[in-house]
Amino acid sequence: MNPQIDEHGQFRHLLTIQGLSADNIHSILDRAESFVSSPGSGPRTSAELKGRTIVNLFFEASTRTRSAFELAGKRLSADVLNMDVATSSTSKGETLLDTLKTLEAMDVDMFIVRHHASGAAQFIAHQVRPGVAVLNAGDGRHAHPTQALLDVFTIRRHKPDFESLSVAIVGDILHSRVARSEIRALRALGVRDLRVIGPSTLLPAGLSELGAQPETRMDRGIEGADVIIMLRLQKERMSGHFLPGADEFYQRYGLTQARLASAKPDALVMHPGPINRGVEIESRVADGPQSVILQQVHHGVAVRMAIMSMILGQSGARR
Amino acid sequence: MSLTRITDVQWLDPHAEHSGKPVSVDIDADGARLSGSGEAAANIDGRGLWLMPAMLDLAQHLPRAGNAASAISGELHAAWRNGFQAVCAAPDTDPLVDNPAAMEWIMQHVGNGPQPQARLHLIGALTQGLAGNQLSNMASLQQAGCHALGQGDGPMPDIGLLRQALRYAADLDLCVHLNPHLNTTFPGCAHDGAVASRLGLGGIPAVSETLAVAMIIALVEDTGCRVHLSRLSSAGGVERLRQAQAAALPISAGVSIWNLLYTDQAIADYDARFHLNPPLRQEHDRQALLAALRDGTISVLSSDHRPVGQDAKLGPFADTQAGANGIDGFIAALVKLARDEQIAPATLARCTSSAPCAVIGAPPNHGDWLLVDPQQSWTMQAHNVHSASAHTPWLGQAMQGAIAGRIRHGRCEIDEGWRGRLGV
Repeated sequence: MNPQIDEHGQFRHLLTIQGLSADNIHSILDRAESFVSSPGSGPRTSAELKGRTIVNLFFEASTRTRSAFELAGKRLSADVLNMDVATSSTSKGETLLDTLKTLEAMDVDMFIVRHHASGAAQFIAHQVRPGVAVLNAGDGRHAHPTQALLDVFTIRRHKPDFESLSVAIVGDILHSRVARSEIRALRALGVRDLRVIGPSTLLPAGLSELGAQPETRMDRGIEGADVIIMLRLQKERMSGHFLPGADEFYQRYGLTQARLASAKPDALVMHPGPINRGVEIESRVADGPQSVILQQVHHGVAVRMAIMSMILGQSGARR
Repeated sequence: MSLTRITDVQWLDPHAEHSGKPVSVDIDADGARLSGSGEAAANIDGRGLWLMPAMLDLAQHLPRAGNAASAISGELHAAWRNGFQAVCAAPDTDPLVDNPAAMEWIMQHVGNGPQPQARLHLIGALTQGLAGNQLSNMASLQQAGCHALGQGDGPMPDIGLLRQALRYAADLDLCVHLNPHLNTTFPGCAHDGAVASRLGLGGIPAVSETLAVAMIIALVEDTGCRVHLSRLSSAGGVERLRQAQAAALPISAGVSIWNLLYTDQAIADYDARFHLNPPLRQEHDRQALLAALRDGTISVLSSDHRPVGQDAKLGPFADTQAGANGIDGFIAALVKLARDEQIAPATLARCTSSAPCAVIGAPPNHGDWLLVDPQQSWTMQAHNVHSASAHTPWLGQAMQGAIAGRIRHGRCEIDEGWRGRLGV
């Protein structure tokens, strides 16, 4: 049983990509298509969530992701409240559960949660009262489902035949919730050739059991790839236990113009942002013709509107 | 002297073989023996039951209730109800057992309650404050009654200090109980494998244990200190232990019931009841542990009882406290090992009585026995949990195997539900 989906096949929460079928994912992506604005036409808006209350509950600092959720909620006419818990109540010793119960008493319809601990979104989903939805905006190293959905949305717009794709995910896989969710989403959509590339110190155990092929050599890893997803390397991981330094990382794994030549000529270059230029990726590549990085950001709002409307809107069966 | 005769019982006597056939046993304060011709004061119909020595658990934690002696007494009563005549408790309690005063305070406050309790053996701290950087007053602790020393779940001292600690303990002929895990080098909350990777949990690799076991073995060889590895969890750890025992080094080992019954798959979607220390590992590790228990390489089976507080498991997995109530349902878990893993009931009795007694140098307890009904089905519910901690993976589960009666100093106390059936 998948706690995210009710007995009618409608989304109750979005906590992780694990357990979602290709049909589930495509249904979200299809809905997202209706929210993507065309150039010059202004943003798509709807009154679908008028009167609904959505709380951005961020236990970890974030600007970009939180803004994308906030915009998505507002474009659907929901009341959106931003709670930057990282700097408020938890520093006074309030527990996660206390914070949640306090906010829940204010008739909230949906919590969008980011937390440093893996499994926090699941935990919260078990604790909220029935009818309150939880949307995971990133929990520890575990999952970042909306990022993975906007990534596969972007891929689908360019290369819709997932089964024939070779996809490479490069960088700090060990600490990356984005990578974990992407692996799940790409596998569910039928990608067979999925390579995860990084030094052994940044590759978690048991990757092949998750359906991804570990590779420590960049050139071999991206050879013939249709899609290359570069991950952000956090500053605190650049030197010390995991890597000798950022320069050597760039030398071994940085996506340069020269390296990109070994991928397919029309390979997509992606990055969840924010980019470390000269650490993961050369500026010429990030800003080059194969880069779809800004499209990812653009699609992020539409994908988040899609999942919010599918959970809270008229089409959500339980409402 | 009152003599109790138990007829047609399966006697799990660690000291003798009875070919598994039911026998008639006489029990008094001096111990148990095959029935003679004398008259018994009480007769019990033991058909279908096991008669096994009341257990000694080498790896329990006392509640950290903050100086609440009643909480400690309560757990010792719960231990007795669950078949333990005695428990060895880790020093990381409150107050921390690194000085004789703390020890005496705890010992003064237990055993005085109105209810029967398991006896308490305290394991003293190997290093002061369990901080791992200064030797504790081992001789004073020994004089105050410590049978053994250990680090509990405190940090593994660095190799230099550990070597000195083992040398000093060897001078005093004290056994040192170590949880073989380089916990400061490899922090984490689950086995470092596909499950932890999928869930994004910090992984504790098996090499954390194999390295620690190899290091400890080398130091045992060097210092001659007796060491008990309190809870092994990995196939690699077992393999190194086997080699050390083949070289006749004074090293023994235990395993917790959790690592024999479950693998990291039990964590599934962040089930914090299975947040345990050492972590649940993989099926090949579990099989290696079972094999080592069968062949005697691992001699001790423990409950790893840790009565964590009510809120201890309320949070995301990594933020929850490791540990679970391991005593309630422990007997049913033994029955399950006998039934599903083909471990001879006599082996289980040895691993929970005479073998742990030998590790702490206590004489085997001849006066305390258990009557176990291995067929009895029951459901674990909050009202039949004896420990103050209801955090057990078994809550709400159907169990098979229960204690029908306890015999202390030869005095027999049959539980109410069995009195009619056993002819008492």
